Amino acid sequence: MATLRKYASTLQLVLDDGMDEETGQPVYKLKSFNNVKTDATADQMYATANAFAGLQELSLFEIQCKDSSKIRNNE
Amino acid sequence: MKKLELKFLNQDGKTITYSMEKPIEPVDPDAVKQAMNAILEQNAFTTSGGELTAIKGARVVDHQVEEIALD
Repeated sequence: MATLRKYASTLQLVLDDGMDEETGQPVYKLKSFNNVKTDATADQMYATANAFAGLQELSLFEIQCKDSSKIRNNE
Repeated sequence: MKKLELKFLNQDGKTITYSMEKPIEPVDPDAVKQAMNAILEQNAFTTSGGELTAIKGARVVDHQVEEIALD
């Protein structure tokens, strides 16, 4: 049976950086943190992201977590 | 362009720095300390030298660029 195993997680803060004057579209700025524990919980990441976001001017639009996994056949 | 740098120590005693652009100014030392303590408490990060263990310091770095006229 093949299994999926997480080996890296990235926490991303999506920050609201105003509006593009030409297109009228909102502009977002990404701030990534690579060295997140693969077993970090949503609560841990939520609190961590908000701690960082609270120190800078842009408002936090959303928080994303990107996991990287390897798939292996264990048979 | 100013950046707020948060410096932590990991289990190996090495410094790990996280930086945020556009820091809220004037920087409130209590707010920075509170945020750094929250980051330590959440313990969501791991580094090649282990988990974050302590606050080392914080600073604002101002990066100034001066174009050099070459004509």
